[in-house]
Amino acid sequence: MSAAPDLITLNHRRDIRNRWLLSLPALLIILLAATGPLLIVLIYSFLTPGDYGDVKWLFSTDAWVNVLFQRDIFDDTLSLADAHISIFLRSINLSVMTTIATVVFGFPTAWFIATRPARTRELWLFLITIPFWTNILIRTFAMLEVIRNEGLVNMLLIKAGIINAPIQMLFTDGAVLAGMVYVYLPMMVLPVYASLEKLDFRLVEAAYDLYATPFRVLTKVILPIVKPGVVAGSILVFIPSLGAYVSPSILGGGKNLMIGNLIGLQFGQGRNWPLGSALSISLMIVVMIALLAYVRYAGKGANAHG
Amino acid sequence: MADRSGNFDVRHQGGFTLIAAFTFFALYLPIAVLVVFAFNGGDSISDWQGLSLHWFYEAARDDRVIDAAIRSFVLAVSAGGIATLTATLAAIATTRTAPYRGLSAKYAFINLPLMVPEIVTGVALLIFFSRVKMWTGYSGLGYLIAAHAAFCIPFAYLPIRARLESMDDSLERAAADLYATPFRAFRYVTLPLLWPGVLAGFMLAFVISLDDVVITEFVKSGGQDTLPTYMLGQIRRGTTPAMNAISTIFLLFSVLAVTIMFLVDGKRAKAQ
Amino acid sequence: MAPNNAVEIWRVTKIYGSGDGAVTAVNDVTLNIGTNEFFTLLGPSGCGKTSLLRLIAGFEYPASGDIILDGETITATPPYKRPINTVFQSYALFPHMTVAENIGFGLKMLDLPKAEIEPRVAEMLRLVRMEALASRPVSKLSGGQQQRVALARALAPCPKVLLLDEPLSALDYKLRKEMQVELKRLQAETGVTFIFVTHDQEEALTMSDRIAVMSGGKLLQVGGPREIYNHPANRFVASFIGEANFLDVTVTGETGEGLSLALASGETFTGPASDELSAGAKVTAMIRPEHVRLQPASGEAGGLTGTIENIAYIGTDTYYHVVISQGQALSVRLQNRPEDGFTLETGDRVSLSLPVSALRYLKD
Repeated sequence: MSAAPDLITLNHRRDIRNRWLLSLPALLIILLAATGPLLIVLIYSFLTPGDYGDVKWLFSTDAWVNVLFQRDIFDDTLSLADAHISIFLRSINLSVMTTIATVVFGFPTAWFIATRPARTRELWLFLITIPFWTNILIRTFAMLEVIRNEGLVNMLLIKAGIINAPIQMLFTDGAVLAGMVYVYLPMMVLPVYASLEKLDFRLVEAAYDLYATPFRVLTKVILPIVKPGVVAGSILVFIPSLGAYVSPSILGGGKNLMIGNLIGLQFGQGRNWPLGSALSISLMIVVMIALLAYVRYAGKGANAHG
Repeated sequence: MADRSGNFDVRHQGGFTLIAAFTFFALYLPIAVLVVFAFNGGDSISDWQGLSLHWFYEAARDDRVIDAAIRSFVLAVSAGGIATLTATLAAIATTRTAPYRGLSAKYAFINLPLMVPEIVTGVALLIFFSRVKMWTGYSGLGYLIAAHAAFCIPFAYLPIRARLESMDDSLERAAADLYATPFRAFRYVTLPLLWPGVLAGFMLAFVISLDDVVITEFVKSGGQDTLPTYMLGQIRRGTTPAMNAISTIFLLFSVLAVTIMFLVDGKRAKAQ
Repeated sequence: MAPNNAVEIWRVTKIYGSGDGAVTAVNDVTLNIGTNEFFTLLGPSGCGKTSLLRLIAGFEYPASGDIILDGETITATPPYKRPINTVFQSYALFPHMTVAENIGFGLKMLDLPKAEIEPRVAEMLRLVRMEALASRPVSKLSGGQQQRVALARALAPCPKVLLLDEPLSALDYKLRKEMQVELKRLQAETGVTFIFVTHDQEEALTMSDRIAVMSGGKLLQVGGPREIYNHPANRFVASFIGEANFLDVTVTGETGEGLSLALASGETFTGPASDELSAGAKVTAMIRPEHVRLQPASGEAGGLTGTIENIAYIGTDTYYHVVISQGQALSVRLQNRPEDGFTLETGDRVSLSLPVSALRYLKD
């Protein structure tokens, strides 16, 4: 017999070795400059804060206790850290509202684009893509310009005689919400559009043929079919909202912090790197739960459509 | 809905067009206001005081702005370049191959930076790089380049991989059949066909790097401001229309890059 | 023997996957293909014919066995070192090159000087009658033109063997007929050994010097078109190539002309003599529909009779589906001739005769 079996194995092994070599640079960069350091964050969350930032190499669970509790400096008792908890709740609350708002505005927009004739569709899509690739900071700054006390909205309202003094919109939760919806809206429109584009409009015709009203066609036929796109969009909006840093720090001012700012503070003025690390890991855990829920949903969906 | 002149429109949903119109209006209004006030003659950012390029001159005269802009550009070109090169190699290694153990893990790992909130990556790199700085004494632009390359890789990887997957793999077999060694098959067949994907990948990586605020804010050493981190600092302190001028120029660059990408992509769609 | 064989395939087996999911695509195939032969691999999709072609081309390596080209073992040679070229099913023309660049690609990869490449490309363009389109991008060509370029590209480096993977399947009927003639002409003019893969039995019969019929990864029969059609080795070959009636019969004895055969229902007819069969043996007898003779039943005794259950008119011919008895029916194909004196209707009684020379005994 020939040595052919060895030949196949040999070729296969060489192929795999080459493939690992080719992907090595990318994997290495990601490991060293993106994901690997997350492990160090985990370690730091169990150390003692240094006097001027950084850490002392002493094991401590204080940082984790401090995520949820605060120690009374006089009698050493623990009570719930209201500030932290309210920031966490505000972050989750704002992120959920951002997600809902982007669906409310994003779905009809995606529908509008998907129902344009093929030639103009490209243009509308382009118009959605432009803000998507425009600097987040610039877009947030643009939002600031519009809603500040001397901004366009207040100015117009005063000129129209509707109000006498400007409404304080900046530095409120509402401003942060508006900023995040503004910034993350394209992240909802694009995946929803992708699934609407594949929607077979003969199904819609069939539903109308079978006595469905327009509203029922939307809720019983269209939405169930494009749900994967809406869910994917929700994940794409929810996760960056949760870790938002730019919008709350520009539009929320000093008082309306979100988790991102709280973490940032620990590495700046707070000089409590272990607490910052523990908060980072906590944020990661919330993100991971959201992702796992998504993966489970997506997995189920894939099975159902077989 | 079904008036006598037209047909029944199954694509019609009540109110959707109105909401879409509002969305597009709301999406572009703030940007338009921003751009318009960049050309304001006075120093107010709400009162129109006549057309002028004053604030563009002002911004261009500021050494910190020019310095930050150059740094941003150098960073985006080098990080985008590194990301595109490594992503191209990785895309080749993860397509047109029999599935092997670790392939899907590899795929997930390349996309992992997209899943981690920027603030977390930012502080993780702050911690890690501050250690490395202490050990090596090096505090140059390398840290920012590495950090930007890492989060640009998944973006560059996306269009390159898509392009490779849509490419008929019998073309490479045909090349091998016609006496092209694997290297020559890549050089003469795969690469010329992959090129638009590589270009799109680079444009994406370039724009993503140019736009980054959060990770840069935490990774940069003193005096390493990029344009976005410089602007963030200024905006926190209160703004002048010079910010609008800088933003306008910045916007122009982004629009240009996206347009190029769209055109390259459009060409591909037509070719197929 | 070796000099006359362009390709020798010796006990080649190819297995895809491993463990429970393993599929044996090519199962212990041994085959010799002669120099200058137009050889066809024929079989239904998934029969292993394309896998065998890919093994010869070098895109796959066999799990066991050897492939020999002109007396030289090439089992482990990578495709770019084999003097064998392929015309791909999808043509696989390089979309970023012109017609001439495509045709010259193999020559360029062989590092031939430009002075040699250019006349060779011109010669190939002439051969496939595409001189006028040399500098056109291949994306601007019609299907038939792309086919010609693919052929010229594969023939340009003067391969010892040309592999053709269902190259005509994407063309419409009329163009396919034209290209069949064109392929035969090219093979005659170049003298290259052609190995042609198809699932179209008519195409295989029209074009081939020899045909190998495959099914389930196995080689079932190798032979000339007439041999394969007239003497199929088994039931699969008989039904895959052309149409066939199968009759389960029992040998009841010998007559002067051959063997006396009986259907389960008791009717008897005469079949050809056979050394392997004796009285009492059960066997399948095969006859092609066009070989069955059919007459309106005349009431004479002897022979088979049946009732027409269905009639299908297809222009040149008419098919009659005749039920002989419970569970036993024959398909009969008669040429439509104006001088035919009878017309038959569904439900008519007919008598059938099965010429002894047209009957075959088959293994399953």
